Amino acid sequence: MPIIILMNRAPLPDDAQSRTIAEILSKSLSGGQLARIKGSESRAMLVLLDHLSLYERQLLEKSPHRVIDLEDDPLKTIVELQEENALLRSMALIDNLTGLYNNRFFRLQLETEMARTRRTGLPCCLLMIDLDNFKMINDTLGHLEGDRFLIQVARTFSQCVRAIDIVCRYGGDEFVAILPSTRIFVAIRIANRFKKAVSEIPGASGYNVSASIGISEFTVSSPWDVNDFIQAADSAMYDAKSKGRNQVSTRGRYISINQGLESVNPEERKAIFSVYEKVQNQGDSDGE
Amino acid sequence: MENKGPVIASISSGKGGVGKTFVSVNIAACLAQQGKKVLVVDCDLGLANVDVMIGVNPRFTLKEVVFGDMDVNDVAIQTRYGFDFVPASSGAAEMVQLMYEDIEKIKETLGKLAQQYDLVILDTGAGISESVLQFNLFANKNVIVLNRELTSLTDAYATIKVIYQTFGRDSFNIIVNTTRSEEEAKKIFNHIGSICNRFLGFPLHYLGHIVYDEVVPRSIMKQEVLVHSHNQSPPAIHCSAIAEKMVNWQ
Repeated sequence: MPIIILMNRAPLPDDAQSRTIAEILSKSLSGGQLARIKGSESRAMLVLLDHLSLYERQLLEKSPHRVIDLEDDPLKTIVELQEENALLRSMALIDNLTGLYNNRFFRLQLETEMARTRRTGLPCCLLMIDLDNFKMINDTLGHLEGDRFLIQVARTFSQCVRAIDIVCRYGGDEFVAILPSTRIFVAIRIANRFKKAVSEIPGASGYNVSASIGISEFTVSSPWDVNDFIQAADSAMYDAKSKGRNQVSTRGRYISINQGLESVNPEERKAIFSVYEKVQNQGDSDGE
Repeated sequence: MENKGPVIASISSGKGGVGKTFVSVNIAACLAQQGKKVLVVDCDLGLANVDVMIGVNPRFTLKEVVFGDMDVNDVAIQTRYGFDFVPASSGAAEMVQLMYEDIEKIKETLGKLAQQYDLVILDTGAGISESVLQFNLFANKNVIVLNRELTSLTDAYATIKVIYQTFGRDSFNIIVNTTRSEEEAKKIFNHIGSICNRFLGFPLHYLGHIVYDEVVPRSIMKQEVLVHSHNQSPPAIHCSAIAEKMVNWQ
């Protein structure tokens, strides 16, 4: 288990502290650098605060000793850090069984993606995937086989998505996929790919295991918060179930004429009204 | 430049009763007269009216494509005006609020059928529903029909704005319908165009105008297609001028 040392600035090459960090090995956390501390078997993570994502920062803020000042002796704080690492592990982003991101990460990432939609104007889609008849595997083959099947599913889903998509285990036999910058029509195609992939997992057809998938689309004009967004995908997923399982169903925005008209702001309205007036008067006087 | 695929033109207006269907049918008839292979699709899925306008009583509609397993190919019928026609159903509640995947199904099957034509005209419904937006996205040319009424001007602008904001489309072709004169049509177009320029940042394209004439409501009532029944009337001449321009889109 790596030890995390956080620094506010990069150590200078001749810095006394940096000499204790012998070799930068690889990246782990975004912008984090894996380093070996001289004279110690422990491997330490050197993380520059500037390089952390908002989420990672929030995560680390919960840790009491997260920042080791350059003045501190890192070797002295290793014990403290090990405690911290245990905490970090308990806050981990990864689902233990499948290796996918977990529910906690999913919610925070979804919030990030919704903020991105608001900023860029590009819609974001959410897939809520529930395995149909998965219980059959658990009940007849045992939970160990059930777990193995879930791992297969996780692997399959990861292969179905694009580099920008994020697949998470929502819990039990439920999975979610965040599809950033994606319109619902593309999401439907990806969902169908998931559905097909599940049916091709060895053993799936024997136990009638399939996937019911609900999709919701979040756009700039959606009044949703995170819970609404998830709720929409969830209820679409229940639609898919009630339509006979092994289906893809959607929820999204329906623009009524009134909503469309609301997009015309008062200034635009005024401009249009003046056109109307001009044309109307002109026409009437011409006619007379 | 031969294999560019068909021109797919959506005809929208935001407000109902502005003359979308009249425009669609008459332009299609003109294009057919010029020897083009034309398909008209009634995209007003819940409240179809192209069939009424041309006096046909279709047996199968897009409803059978969505809920039955019919291919749009089998639903398309030939009309006596030289163009083919894909009808929609009228009063089918389940067609009013289609799910995305249903619209996707229509688009997919329509996309294949479209390849057999030079021009495809999508007569979309009133309002700015998801299906109206989707058919506008499906089209490669977006036509907006408006008239001088305040509600029509506002709805047309709202339609343009929503399509622009949703899909980034910024090229719209304007037809000014039931105008009192060409001069008035140009004036309306110029004003609305400058509002678009000012608030949305792009200009509009003038596709044409159709002057008001008593023969129009009369021909509609008789379920006649004006460019056939009164081909020398001013509105018919205006329709064929618009069709002429659309031929150049190919």
